[in-house]
Amino acid sequence: MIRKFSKYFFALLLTTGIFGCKKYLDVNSDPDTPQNPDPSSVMPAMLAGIPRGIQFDARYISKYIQNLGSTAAADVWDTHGFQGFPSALDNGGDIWRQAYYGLGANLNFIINEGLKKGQWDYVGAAYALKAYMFQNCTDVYGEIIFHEAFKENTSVFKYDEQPVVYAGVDSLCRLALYNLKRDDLNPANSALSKGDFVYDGNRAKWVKFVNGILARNFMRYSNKANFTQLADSVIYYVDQSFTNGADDFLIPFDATKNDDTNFFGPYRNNMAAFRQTHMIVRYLDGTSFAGSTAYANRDPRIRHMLSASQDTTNGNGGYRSVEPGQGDPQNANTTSRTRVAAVWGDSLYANPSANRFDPSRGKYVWRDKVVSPIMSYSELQFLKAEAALRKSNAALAYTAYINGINAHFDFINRTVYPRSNVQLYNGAPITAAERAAYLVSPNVKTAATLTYADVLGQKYIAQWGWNFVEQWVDLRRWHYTDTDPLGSGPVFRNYIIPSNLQAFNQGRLAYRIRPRYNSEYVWNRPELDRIGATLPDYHLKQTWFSLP
Amino acid sequence: MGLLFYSLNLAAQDRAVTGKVTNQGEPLFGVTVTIKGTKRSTQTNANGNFTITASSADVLQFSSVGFTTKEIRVGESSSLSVELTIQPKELEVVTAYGISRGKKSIPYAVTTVEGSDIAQTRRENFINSLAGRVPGATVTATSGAPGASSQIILRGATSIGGNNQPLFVVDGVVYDNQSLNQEGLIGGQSVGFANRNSDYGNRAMDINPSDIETVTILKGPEATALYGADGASGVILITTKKGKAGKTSLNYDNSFRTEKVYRFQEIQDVYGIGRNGIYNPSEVANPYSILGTTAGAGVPAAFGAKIPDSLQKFDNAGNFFQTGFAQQHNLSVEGGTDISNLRLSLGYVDQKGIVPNTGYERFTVRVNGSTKLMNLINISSSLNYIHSTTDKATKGAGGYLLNLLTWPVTNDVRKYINPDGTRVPLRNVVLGNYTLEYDNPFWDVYKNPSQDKLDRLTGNINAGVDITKWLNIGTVLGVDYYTQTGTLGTHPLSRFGFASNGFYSLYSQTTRNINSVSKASINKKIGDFSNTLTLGFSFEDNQTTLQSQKGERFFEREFFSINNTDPLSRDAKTTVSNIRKSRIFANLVTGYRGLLYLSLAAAREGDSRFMSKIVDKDPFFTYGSVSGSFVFSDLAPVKNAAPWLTLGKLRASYATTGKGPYAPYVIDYRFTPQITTGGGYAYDVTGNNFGLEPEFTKSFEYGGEFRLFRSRLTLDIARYSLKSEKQLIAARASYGTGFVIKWFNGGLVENRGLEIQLGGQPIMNKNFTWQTTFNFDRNVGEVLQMPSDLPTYYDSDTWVFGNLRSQYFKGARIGNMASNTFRRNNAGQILISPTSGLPIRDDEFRTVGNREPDFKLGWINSFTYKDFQLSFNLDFRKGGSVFNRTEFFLYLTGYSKKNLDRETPRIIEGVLQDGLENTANPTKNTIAITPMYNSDFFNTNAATEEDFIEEVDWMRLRDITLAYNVPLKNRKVIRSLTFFVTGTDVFMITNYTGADPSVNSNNTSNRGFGGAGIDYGAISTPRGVNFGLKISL
Repeated sequence: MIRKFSKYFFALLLTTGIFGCKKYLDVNSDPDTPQNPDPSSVMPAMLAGIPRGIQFDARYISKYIQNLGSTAAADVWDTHGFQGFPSALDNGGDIWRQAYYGLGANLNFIINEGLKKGQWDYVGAAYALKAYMFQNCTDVYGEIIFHEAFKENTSVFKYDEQPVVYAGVDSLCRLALYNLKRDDLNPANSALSKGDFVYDGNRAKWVKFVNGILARNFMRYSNKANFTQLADSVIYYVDQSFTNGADDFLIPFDATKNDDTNFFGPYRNNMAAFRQTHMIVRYLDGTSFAGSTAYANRDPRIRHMLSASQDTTNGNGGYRSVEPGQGDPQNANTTSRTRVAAVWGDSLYANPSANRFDPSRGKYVWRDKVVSPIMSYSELQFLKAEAALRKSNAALAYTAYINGINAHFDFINRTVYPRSNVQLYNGAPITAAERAAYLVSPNVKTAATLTYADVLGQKYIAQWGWNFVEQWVDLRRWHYTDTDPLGSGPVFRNYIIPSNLQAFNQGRLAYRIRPRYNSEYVWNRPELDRIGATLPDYHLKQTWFSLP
Repeated sequence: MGLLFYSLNLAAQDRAVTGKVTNQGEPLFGVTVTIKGTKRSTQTNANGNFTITASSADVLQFSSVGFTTKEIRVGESSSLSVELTIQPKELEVVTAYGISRGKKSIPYAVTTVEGSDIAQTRRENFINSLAGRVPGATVTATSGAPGASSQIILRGATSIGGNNQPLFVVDGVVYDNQSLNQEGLIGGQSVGFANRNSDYGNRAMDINPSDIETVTILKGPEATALYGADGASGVILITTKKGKAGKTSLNYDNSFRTEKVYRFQEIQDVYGIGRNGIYNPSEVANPYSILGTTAGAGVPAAFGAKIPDSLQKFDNAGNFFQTGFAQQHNLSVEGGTDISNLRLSLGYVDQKGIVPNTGYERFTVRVNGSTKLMNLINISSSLNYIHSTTDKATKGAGGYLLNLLTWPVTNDVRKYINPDGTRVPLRNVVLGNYTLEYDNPFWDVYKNPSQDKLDRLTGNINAGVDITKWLNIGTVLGVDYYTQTGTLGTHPLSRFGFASNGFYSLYSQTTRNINSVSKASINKKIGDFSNTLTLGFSFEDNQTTLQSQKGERFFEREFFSINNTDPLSRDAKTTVSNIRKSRIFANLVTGYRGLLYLSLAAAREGDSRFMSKIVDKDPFFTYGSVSGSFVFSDLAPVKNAAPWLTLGKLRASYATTGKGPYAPYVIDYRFTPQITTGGGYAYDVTGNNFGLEPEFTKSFEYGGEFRLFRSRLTLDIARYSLKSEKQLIAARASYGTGFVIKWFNGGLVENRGLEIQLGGQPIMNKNFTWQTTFNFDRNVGEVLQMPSDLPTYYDSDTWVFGNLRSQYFKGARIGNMASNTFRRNNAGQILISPTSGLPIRDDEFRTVGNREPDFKLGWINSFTYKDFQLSFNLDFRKGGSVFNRTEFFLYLTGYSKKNLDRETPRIIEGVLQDGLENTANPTKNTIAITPMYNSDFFNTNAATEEDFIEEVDWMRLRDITLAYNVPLKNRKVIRSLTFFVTGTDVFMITNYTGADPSVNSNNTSNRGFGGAGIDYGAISTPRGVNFGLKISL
């Protein structure tokens, strides 16, 4: 009997052993983190991931574009040097990180899941962000991985030339528009409003944002022979884009802990060694546009954007600044009242509240809980103005120019922000009278006298402190010091070639940042050899868009 | 069922035959005496006597477990005297799935280590006692601290980024050997966890060595093929002691050990604190910013003037370390009959470490029992409970050892605490900022408490049925369940607790593994062919849950509890791992006349780690082996020509095995929670890969076994090659992958090696015997191809200080280390900075060493002279790089003996980097430097890791035991009594300049080659002397 029983028992065990196995093995998903989340859960991290790349790298790009300068003399970035290969540093590599890892692969996930679930709004928004990130990425690094990005089972990724990437960005924008305009959303799934804390799921605004990316994209052809034809596209897409400051793409911060706080704010204390430069001060104190710093010529925006020193006897109200490459000679002199003030406020030379939240501290975009702008109506109007000037349509250019200036006053005066972020202005907003006075001051030109220097100068003011990549594109399109075809002198009037430029540069200025060291130089070297990125002067090599 | 067939034909000449069975004069109890060809049998009594009714023509069979069966014709004698000889054990070997096989038929190298040899070394972690005893095994202890983990790798690492430790199987049941992976814990403001500053033990160390009967090491392809993914790196089969048929016995042994650490990294005590030869008590060195970037942070820099003779110098190391003391007690009761047996054992270990406030305590209970039901069903079961507590100190950066070594000799390390309980800072400049310097070693060990506790229960049920003479079916079910809890606190006034005002971490890891193997064995002889076919299947369900919490900002300064932390600072994390496996397997062994054996094995395994919820994956894969052996010594011509050849066997074996990724949940996407604005989820830094396939190893082994002169001389040789393709690694790559780290599948790693075991009994007479064994091995591992053409892969956990890490390139050896080097010109000359006269460091990582030794040799000897026994284990190693990271750190801070020669001016050999370095006439460096007055000579530009790599040879006496068996006249009460003295790690002769070359910069949870061979802030193995006795009643 036992033998019989044993036989049956054995037979039973054997049968269970052979069948029912695959089901038994189906336990390979992590019970602690979702391995297949909804796009609505991934979207917030994508929005929050944008400032991480831009702001991290702003510490370097802001010096090339003279938004900011170092307190110390002969700073490597102030003097158009670089870090990274052959030294093992990732400085300037965060936009690269975000384009592929921070956002890139995640955006692909949102797109794939969204397509499966009929969440066309997420698909469109993800394509929009992908277009934005890759455009930034190529703007900064030149040749980048585009078509081979995210390829499986390989560690070798081929680089694409800039025209290929810009065309690719255009395609991504078209896909974004197509999906954002679809109305047949699957109602069973989360709508974009759930994960989108920038536009709250407003697809019309996303469509405008995509058109803004396209407008920027067409401006990359400004030095090409056929640009006069493409200038219409810039104007067209600007017109399809933001209609006022309420459309601005602004990423807010919660400011409750390190990771959800503005990188530029006092809490995170990353800007302690950065100072305003001559360039921005001269745009705002009357020097550039009016030729004098007389009180009437001073831009009312200056007191909201820049910091004054304790000593105000320097002729422009105390707005001292550093000359790139020279640092602030007074910086170490802690009793000096003529030191250049820190970005966080007037008469401040050190961080007022490092590692401590204080919403009242900081100035302009240099606060813990202010938005990080990504694209503004004001900026796009200047884009349109430049395109119109290129087409010699002075009237159109003038309208856009005035719109742009007004829009930037509105930008500063705005009071309501997503996630209860605080305003950018300092104390009271700019009054209508102050604005009106500015608009009739010698700072603002007429349709007849408008030059590129006026448009791009005002654009510089409007982009200061946040639109670093776009500003760098503008400077490089004009080769930093190109002469204004419509006026005398350079387009960027106050751009100062540092007297102590890196000797290696032999007078040349930086045109690109090397791809991230701990991604490309360690793991994708042959490709860098191929494109010449291991040459010592690679950062000085002109980008495709700046070449004729 | 006709159980009692008695021959009714009792012949007239039947009579009572009596006799006595002995072994070496000692009466044997429980020997079965059977009349051949009948079922008539009896057993001997306690005096070895028996009585049986038999005729003169009958043949009596005497059999007993462990003895060679003997047959004697009754003849005319009515009183027989029978001497049984002990059966040489090696003839039967337990192989995969507990299947015993005659050694002749085994076509691969098997090493068996006796439990008594292991227990005799009195080591708490039995893995350490395998060093030198197993050819092909590399044992590396993490440190010499109590409760330290130990890594064992058989035949070289086959996975560059996976787990290479063998599978442990105890009595047929998989025994978990995890080490807690620190990455599952939550760091704090200044406390990080990367498997380098704490050791959590390796769980195979829970086994009480006294419970081990034998350890069988299966390195060969066939056995590992049968164990599949888990056995791909080899299998360590442990058989525990069972009760034996015979008289019930009570055994007790104890041991008392004192231990002292006697090897340190030497330090210089000539020059005091300062820089450029000038005394300055506030001068610091902070290489690689290990103490952070705050001004004034660092280790006191010993680059100052000579210490005046008038100043008192303290022996800080001598004052810090104490004499360790350990005691062990083992008590067991065993007994049984032919039908049933039982063994109960209790073990207790209490170890107080050489470092104050460290220790290891373990209590074990084991019950093994078996019985045979209805003469048909064998049932055995065991239960093992373990409770252990480890009190430990941190190692590596900021740990007591490095702090002790860099403690100025003019300062008394014992003065570490003020009367009010606050910490005494070393430098007055610290002024209350305790993050600027490391803790006093005493402060570290007393005020930063760290403890692990373990409760483990393992058990198994093993049932077998002999359905017919040739068919046996059986099943084993095992459960391994344990909870390991631990705490780590840093005092609010400690270096790592100050910024956060105290840090407290606690965790609880629960593992629940269930596994079962069911099999049917068919033994059938067909003509001259003996056949054994085993068919079976197995299941495994392994679950580990790690719950961790942390808190910061203590309310009460001296109270270590999560409740004493600021609620806002508390954080929790759960890490779950659930892996299931199923396997069907078959193994056929066919023998021809005991001369030729052919063995075929195949298994099809399903591994849950290859399952996906998103894509369609096949979790099953197949592997197998073919192997054969040829016992040529049994051929008649050979027998005649070489009668001295007891055994001559040639063997060859080829097999494949598969391996899964080291972690589950890597096939599907991996998301991690985000704490940026809006929260949500984003991809983990490590990217999944839907396409992963098992890592595949193809192994080939051939060799031979020879026994000469009645086994007086034995030789076992094995040559092998392991080709491991489709390496599964989580590697850094271009961000073009979309990730920072990405799972890859590919590449090829080859390990080739030679193992020789040579044994002999040169002297064997009544009073004096000498047995000796040499264990030689050599392994060469090489990365022939990198996965997915990755240019490089490194283990970031091993990057503990300075720029050196365990790193692979195409063509690199398996123990490869890479580091920064000096910049050189095209002609290979070192480039010198024209401004400083110092060399220039290159940030690229280049191969600088291989930690694999040229060869290892273990020499084991055992002498008996009358009642005395002496045995020892000498362990040799030739070659293999060790990175003396400890000295590198000391050099950069001024404490190394290499810093002593600082007053002679010198010109560093090299050429100036002045633009001419690659021309035909580079400028030779002529800038003279006197290091005494230019301390930059000792900084990270002028010294690279490369200079601190040593090719290490050693000879160490792992253990030596002298035992005396007290001659007993009357063995009725006390059967045996032995006194012994055992020394462990008594001496080491080595060219290594550091403390101990056999340490690990990480802990054993590390993957690939791990941190073995990287010596950083780990305490050397202390010398121990054990006294004790063994008594058997």
